[in-house]
Amino acid sequence: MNTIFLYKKLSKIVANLLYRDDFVEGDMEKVRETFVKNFYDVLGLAFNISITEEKFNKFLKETNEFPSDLQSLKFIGETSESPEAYLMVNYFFALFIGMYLECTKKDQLEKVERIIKDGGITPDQFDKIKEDYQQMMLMKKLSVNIAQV
Amino acid sequence: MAESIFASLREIANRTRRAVGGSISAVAGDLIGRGVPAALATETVRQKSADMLAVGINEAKDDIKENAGPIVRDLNEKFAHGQQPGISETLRENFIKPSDSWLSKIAKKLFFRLIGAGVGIASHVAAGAINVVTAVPESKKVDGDDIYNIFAKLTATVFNRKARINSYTRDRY
Repeated sequence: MNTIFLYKKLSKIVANLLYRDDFVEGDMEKVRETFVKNFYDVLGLAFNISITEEKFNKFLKETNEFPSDLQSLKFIGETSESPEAYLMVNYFFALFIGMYLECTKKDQLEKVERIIKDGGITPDQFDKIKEDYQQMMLMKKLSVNIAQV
Repeated sequence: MAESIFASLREIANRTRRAVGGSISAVAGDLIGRGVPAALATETVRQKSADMLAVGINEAKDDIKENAGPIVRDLNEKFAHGQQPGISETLRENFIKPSDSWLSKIAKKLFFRLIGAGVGIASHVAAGAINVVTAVPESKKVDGDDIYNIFAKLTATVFNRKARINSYTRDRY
C-alpha cells in the first residue's frame, strides 16, 4: 500500500483514539499533550533524515545564505514531504496504536479494535510498517557509512 | 480480531512493556505478588493507564531518535561546517518550539483538526512551525499577513475536505 495513503489512514485512527476520553483510564489531556509534543519531535527527526547536503546547499544558495522564516518554513515543509518521513511517522503512529491497545480498558477493547478495523488497517500492515521503517533506517545508515568512507 | 491484532503487535507491545516496566496485566501481577489484594492492584494499575500511555509515547519517540542518531549526527557535522551560525539549528532542531502565545494555542487546536483530516506531513510541519515564527525573536519580521496566509491555507485544506464529505453525504442520502 502507498505510504502516504497508509499515513492518512493511520492518522485518522490516531485522531479517533486521541479524542476519546473513555477508552483509557486516567488523564487523557496529558496523553494528548504528550502526543503532540512527541509527534513534532518525530517530524523534526523526519526532516533531519530527509534532508541531503545537496538540497541544503541549494537552499542556502537560493536564499543567499540568509533565508527568511517563511522561506525556511517552505523548505522544511517541502523537504519533510519525503518517503522517509512518511515511513518514520507511520512507524510512530503504529507504536502509538500498539501502546493504546495495551492501555485500553478491557471492556472497551472491542470498540478500539473496531476503530482500527474500520480505519482500514489490518494486522499484517503493522508488521509491514515496522519492516519498511527498519529497512529504510538501515539503508540510510549504510549510505551515511559509505559517504564517510 | 483481538487475537490477530495482538499477535501482530506483540513486538510493538514489548517496547511498551519495556517503557513502562511491564504490561498492565504484568504490572498488576507484580503488585499482587507483592501482597497487594488483586482488586486493588488491578484498580491501581487501571487508574494509571493514561500515565503509562504517556510514558510509552515518550519512549517510542526516544527509540526513533536513538535509531536516527547516527544519521542525524553525521548530517549535523556536515551542515555545521562553514554555515551561518543559527540557520542549521533553526532549520533542523528548533523549528518547532513550545510557546504559550495565543497563536501557539490556535496552532495546537489546528493540529488536532489536521491530524484527523488525513492531510500530509507538510501541513503538520507548517502548523507546528507557526509556533516558531511567533516564538523566535528574529522572526518578528514575519508579519501578520504571512501567518494569516499559512492559517488560511491550512484551514481551507481541512474545511474543504469536510465540505466535500458533507456534499457527498447530502448527495447520497
